[in-house]
Amino acid sequence: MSTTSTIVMPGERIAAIEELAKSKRVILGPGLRRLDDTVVASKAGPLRHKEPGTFWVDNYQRRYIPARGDLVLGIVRAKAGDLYRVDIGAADTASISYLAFEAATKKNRPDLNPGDLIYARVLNASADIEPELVCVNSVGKRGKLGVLAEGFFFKCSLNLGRMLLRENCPVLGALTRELPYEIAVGVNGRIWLKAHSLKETVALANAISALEQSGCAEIDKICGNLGDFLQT
Amino acid sequence: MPAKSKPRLSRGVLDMKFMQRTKDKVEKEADDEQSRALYSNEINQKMLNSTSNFMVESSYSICAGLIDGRLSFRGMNPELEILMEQELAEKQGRTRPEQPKEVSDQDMVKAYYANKAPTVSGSMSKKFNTKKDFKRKIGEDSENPHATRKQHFKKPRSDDD
Amino acid sequence: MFMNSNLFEPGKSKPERSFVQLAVKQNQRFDGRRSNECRDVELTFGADWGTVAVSMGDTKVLTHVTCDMGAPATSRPNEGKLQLNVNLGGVAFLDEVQTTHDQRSLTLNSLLERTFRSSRSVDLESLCVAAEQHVWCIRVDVNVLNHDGNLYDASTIATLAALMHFRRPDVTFTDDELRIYTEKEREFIPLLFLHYPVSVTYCIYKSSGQPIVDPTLLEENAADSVIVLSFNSYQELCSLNAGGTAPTNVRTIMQCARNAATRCKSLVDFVRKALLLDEERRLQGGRLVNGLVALIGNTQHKLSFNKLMSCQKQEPQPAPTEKMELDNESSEKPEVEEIEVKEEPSKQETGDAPMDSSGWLPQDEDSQELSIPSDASTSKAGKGKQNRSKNKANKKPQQKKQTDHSDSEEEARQYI
Repeated sequence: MSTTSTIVMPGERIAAIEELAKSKRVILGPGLRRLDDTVVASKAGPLRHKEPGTFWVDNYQRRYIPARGDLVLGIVRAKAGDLYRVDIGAADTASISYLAFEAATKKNRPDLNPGDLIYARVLNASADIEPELVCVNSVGKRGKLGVLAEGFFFKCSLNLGRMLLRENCPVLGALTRELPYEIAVGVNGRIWLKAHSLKETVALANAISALEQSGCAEIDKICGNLGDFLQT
Repeated sequence: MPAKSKPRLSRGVLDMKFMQRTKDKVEKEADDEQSRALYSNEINQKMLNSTSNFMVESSYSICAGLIDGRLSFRGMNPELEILMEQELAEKQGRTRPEQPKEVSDQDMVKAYYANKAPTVSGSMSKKFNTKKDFKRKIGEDSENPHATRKQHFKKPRSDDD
Repeated sequence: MFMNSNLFEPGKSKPERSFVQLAVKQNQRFDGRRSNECRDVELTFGADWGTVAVSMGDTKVLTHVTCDMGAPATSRPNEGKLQLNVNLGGVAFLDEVQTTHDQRSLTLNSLLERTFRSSRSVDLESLCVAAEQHVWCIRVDVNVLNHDGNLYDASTIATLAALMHFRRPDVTFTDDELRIYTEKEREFIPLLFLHYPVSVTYCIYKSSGQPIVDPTLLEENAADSVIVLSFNSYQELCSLNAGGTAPTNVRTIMQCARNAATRCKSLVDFVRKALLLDEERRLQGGRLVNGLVALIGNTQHKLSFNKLMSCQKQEPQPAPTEKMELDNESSEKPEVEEIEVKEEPSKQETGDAPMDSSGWLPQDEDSQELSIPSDASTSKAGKGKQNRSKNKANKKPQQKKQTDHSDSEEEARQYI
C-alpha cells in the first residue's frame, strides 16, 4: 500500500488508472466505477493503490456494504424457517442457513438464539438480494468462524476495523505485549474482545476505540504508548 | 421457422437418460439467447466485443489484502492459536524464497548414476512406462522379431478346447 | 467527538448484556465512574433568550424556548400555555422502525410533561394577559442531537435551564388593544416559577442490588429496569417512572430517591449559578454564542457542573476534609455499612421532624428547613455553604449534627 495518496471526490475522473489500464490489467475496488473507458470515483477519500494494479478509495464510513468474501460479525435477530436472520450492520439483514454450520444436519440444528454473536463469511452479496452468510469453509470445517460466546462487543467505524486488519498492523501486537486476549474484528466495523478479566477487557476496548480518529500513519506512532490508554 | 436455423433435437430425444448433458447445454444456450434478446437494446456491439483490462472487486478485504479478523494471543484460545500457526506456516511455505542449494542438480545426477542407482530407478520407471514403450524396449533389447510376435494375442483356435 | 454515534444501538446483543451485568456486579463501569458518580453536565447558553445546549458526556440536547400570544384553553381561561415538543430526528439512526422511534419520543415527552406541566413548575397564571382572550403560549423545543444514554436527565436539565433563561417581552392590554413592547422599549421579563424540577435516572440490574446513576446508552439498554425520578429544589418528588423487569424493593427505591433529591438540588443550584454567570457575561457585552457549532462545540462559554460546583467546595469548609476521612474509614469497614444504613431513617424520624414512612420527603415549610441539613454534608457540593448561612444561629449544634449525619449519609452513599 502506498503511503502517498491523493484525495478523490465522487465524480472525479482518475486518469492515472485509465492510463495504466491501457497496458495491463487493473482491479477496481470499492469507491471506483468504470464507465466504458473512463474511471470515476464514487466515494470521497484517499485513493489507495496496491501492486500490481489494485485501486480503491478508503472512505470514512459507518454503514457496511456487504461484499463477497468478507469476514463479518453479526448479531442473530430471529429464526425464520430454515434460516437465521443476522444483523451485520448493512442496509438489509443477512441470512444464514441452519446447515451452514459445522456438523449441522437437518436433525442436528445449531443452537442459536436472538442476540447471539457470530463470526461469519459473506457468501453472496448483491445489491438486489439479501446477503448470505456461512460459518463453514469449503471443506465443511468451522475454522475460525462460528458463535462468539462471552467477551465484550462494540462497534466502530469501518475504517478502524480495516485499519486493525491490515497486514503487519502494529496495534494488536502492541496490545499483546500488555495483555493476553482474543479478538474478532469484522470488516463491518464490529469488534469482539475477550480477555482474562473484565477490567482487562474494558481497558482493551477503550484502547481500541481511542484509535478511532487516527489515520494509518498516526497509528504506528500511537502504538508506542498504547499502554497508557490501558491504564484508563 | 426459417430454413437455415439450426436443427434442434426433439424433446423426446433430450429426455433420454444419456442425453442429459446435451440437454443442459441446449437449455443454457436457449437461456443465453433469451437474455440477449431481453437486453439487446441496452447492450451494444462495443460492450460485447471490447476486451477490457478492468476488473471490478467490491470487497475491501480482497483489495487491501486484509487478514482474517479472528485472532488470539498468548494462549487465550489454544485451538485458535494452532489454526493461526498452521496458516502462518502455510503462508511462509508459499512465499519462502528458494533456499540456495549446496549441491547443484547436475552434480546430483552425476553422483546418482555414478553410484549405480539406476537399478532402482529402472525398476521404478518401468511402472510408469506405457505398453508401447515397454514393447519398444523389449524389441530393442532382444533384437529378435519373433519375441514381439510372441506378445501378440492370438485367437484361440477351435481345436484348443 | 460523537464516538458513540453508532448506526445501531449498543447493548442489544447477548454478549454486551451479560458483560454489562457482570461489570455492574463487580462494581465497574466502562468510563471508570463509580456506581453513584454522574457525568459532568455542561451548559452553553445561546445568544437568544431561552436557547440552551446541554451535554452529558456524548449525550447532547439543544433546547429552544419561544413564546407567542394566543387564546387560552376554554377549561383554563386565565392560564397561559406551556407546550413541550421533543424532536428525536438527530438520533433517528438508532431506530430501525417507526415504532421504536415513536416509543422513545413518547417516553421522553411524557416525562417532560409530568415533570414540568403536571407538577405546575411554571406559574402559568402569570402568563395571562386578558382572561379568556390573550395569554402567552410558551413553547419548548427539545432537540436531541446525540444519544449516549440518560436522555431523560439531559432533556429535563436543558428544559429547566432554557425556561429559566428565557425572557418574554412585556405586554399591555388596554382598551381592547394588545401592545407588545420590543426589548428597547421595555426590558424583557423572565418567567415565574413555583418550583424548579429536574430528573435523575437510575439503572437497576438483576445481577446486582446496586443501582447505577446516569447510565450510558450501553448501560441503559442492557439494564433490567430504568427508574427516572424528578425532584424539585425543595426535594419534593415531582414524578417517578419505574419500568422494567428487575425486582426492586422499597429500600432500593428509597435510596435512589434520597440520592436523587440531593443531586437534583445541586443541579438546580448549578443551573442558577450558570445563569448568573451568563447574566454577567451579557452585561459585560462579551461575545455571544452564535450558531449551532458554537453551541455544542468546545467553546469557552461552556459552563461545567464539576467546575462550577467545585469552586464552591473550595471555600473554607470543615466538611470536605472530614468526608475524606470518612471515605477511607467506611471503605475499611464494609461490614458496618449495612447496619448503619438501616439505622439512618429512624434517626431522621426521631431527631429531625415528624415524618411518615417517606422520611426524605419534607411535608411542610418547617420540616424542609430541618431536613435539608441532613443531606447537607454529602459529597454533592454547593449546599453546605448555603445551609450554614441559613442556620447561622445554631451553628454549633448544627455542626455536630452534620458530622454525625455525614457519617451515616456518606456510608449510605457508599453502599448504594
